[in-house]
Amino acid sequence: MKKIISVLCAFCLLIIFTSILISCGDSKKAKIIKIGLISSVTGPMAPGFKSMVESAKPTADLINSKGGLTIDGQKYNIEIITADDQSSPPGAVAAFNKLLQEEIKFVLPPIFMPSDMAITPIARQNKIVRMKAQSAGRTQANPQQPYSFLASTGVYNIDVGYQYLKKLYPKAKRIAIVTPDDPGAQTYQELTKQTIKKYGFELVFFEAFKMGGEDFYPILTKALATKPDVIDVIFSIIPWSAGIINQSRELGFKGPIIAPAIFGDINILNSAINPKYAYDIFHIGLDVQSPKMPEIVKEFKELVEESTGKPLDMDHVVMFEAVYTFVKAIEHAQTLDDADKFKTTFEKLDTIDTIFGKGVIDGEEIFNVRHVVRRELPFSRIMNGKVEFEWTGKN
Amino acid sequence: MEMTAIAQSLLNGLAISGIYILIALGLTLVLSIMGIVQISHGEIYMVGAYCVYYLIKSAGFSFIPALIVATLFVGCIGVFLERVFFRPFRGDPDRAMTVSISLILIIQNIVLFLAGGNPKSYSSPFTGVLFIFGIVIAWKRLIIVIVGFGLLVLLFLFIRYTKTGQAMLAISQEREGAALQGINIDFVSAVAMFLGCALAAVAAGFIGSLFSISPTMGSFALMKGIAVIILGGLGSIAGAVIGGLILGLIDGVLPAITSTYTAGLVGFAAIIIILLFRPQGIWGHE
Repeated sequence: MKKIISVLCAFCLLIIFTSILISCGDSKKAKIIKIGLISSVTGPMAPGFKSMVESAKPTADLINSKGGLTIDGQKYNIEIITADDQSSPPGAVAAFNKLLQEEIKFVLPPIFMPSDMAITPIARQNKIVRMKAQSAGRTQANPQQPYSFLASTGVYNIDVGYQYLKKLYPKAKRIAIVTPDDPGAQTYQELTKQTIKKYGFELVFFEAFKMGGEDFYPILTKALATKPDVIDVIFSIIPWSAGIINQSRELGFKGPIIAPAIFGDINILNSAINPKYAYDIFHIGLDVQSPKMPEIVKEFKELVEESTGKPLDMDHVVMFEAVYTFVKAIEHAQTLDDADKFKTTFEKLDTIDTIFGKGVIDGEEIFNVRHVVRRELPFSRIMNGKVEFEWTGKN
Repeated sequence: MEMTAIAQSLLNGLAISGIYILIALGLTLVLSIMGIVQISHGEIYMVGAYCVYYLIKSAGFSFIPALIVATLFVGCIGVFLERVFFRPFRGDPDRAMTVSISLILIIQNIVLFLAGGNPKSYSSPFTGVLFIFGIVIAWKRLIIVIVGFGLLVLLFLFIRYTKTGQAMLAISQEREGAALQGINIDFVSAVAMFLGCALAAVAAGFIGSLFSISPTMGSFALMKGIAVIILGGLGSIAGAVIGGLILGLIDGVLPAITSTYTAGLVGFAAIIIILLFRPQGIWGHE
């Protein structure tokens, strides 16, 4: 009997000792830092933004496989918590409140401007740091938004776009702007008009069309009556980009059609336009299928295609870029929840790692705050039905 | 504005009218004549477009065979919907409306799940443009106008000269009386839904070749279809033509003179003004 009790005691001690060892080991394992992502999974904007949600897991997996981030000597893996804004401002507010309840301090806000504007006051009040994946608006980056940052912005694309226009189409002089009437587009529109003047072009037509429809014959009829050499869309999404290209070519327009602040995914666009009309179309945007993409993007491509069963598209990469930059910025700030420390650190940085190499911290001239990341700009063109791509060497 | 541009705008407007009439045809039959509260008609239209897309891209069909198969398939979906979702709530428009709205969300999200959110497109076999005195019309738009008017005539003849068509009219006027006359309400409703959904698929097949297709494209079709039949008059095929022409010309011509916002404003203002003086619509019966 005594022997049995002794054996049992030894066994219990062994279990207790092993448990202590395991829990000590656990404290060395990575902890989790949650990053919120608000995007449209349902509603009319879902077709445009669902890719961002799809890329959440591959993004987290890849960043974690590369070491995650380290704060105060403790390793952290990231977990991206997605919330559906239902393509509406009230939906965005509900999504944001859900993330607040989970005590998430770092959020990628909706790309859709009205939804982003709806959460801005609550974000500011609760000192939630927001890193927007892509934007133009001074409404999102300005001195009154201390905790709002931009991982990329199309405003710096416009000047580069017009440099390319001048270089590739030296005879073009007359510009017709046919652009969506997006609430976030004012900055783009102002800068485009200034740039047109700067490079000696003539603005012969300007109209911002009501978003939603895809029949551009009426507006293009008006635009083409002014005999432009170039149609500038400024920025767009695929259905409108494809509609404007196809329909303007049907109406007899043969000149270049450009979008300095991007058309959308260039490969999806190429598949959506009539092959007969697939020429002289360019934007200052990525071709994510190009072999010239960095290795990390190629790794990401494999993960996304395995996980979604669909080809990688630009929105997947935009999301990945934003999260990667965000993680690097959090690591620089060495804080899990101090928005002021994040802000101060970010504003003092000169450069930051992005998936496309070193990004420069800027924004003072256009946004009056150093809250914007500028990295090397890409150039993609569709000629004879094929996508051509190069890095511009400018940011 | 130059004369050529004005003429181009008028032609644009006529082409848009053809699009709206084609969209409104199925809705005219189902909602307007049969009184089935089929608010998910836009989603049926969307499913039709996706059927054509996948038959062309995945199954290798050419456009016309894809359109025929999609039309028959979507027509059968209509019969299923009528039997399962609308027949139990016949005579109870509030519940039928609730079911219909639920169907919008269900169908949209099924398609979003299966097909993804990225817009897709397929080409029309009717390529090229026609130049008439310096103005342009794409063949694919002209074909839509021809098909739209052709189907309109066929629908009119069907309603006017066939037994089933006459039964539909009888049901729309007095359901119980029609039943007492020996008309099989269930059968006629099923036929109406088959035809209405089939017409939606034809519309979607053609219009999907003009613009991109996406899971949310149905809302545009429903909105325009309802606007056309309300303006033209409930229960009237001729009214659908008038309504389509008015709204199409407004949407085609006004943006060329003013802006895209004005067209929307004027279009709905026109509906309100006409309904104030003629509540039954332009060609509707009192």
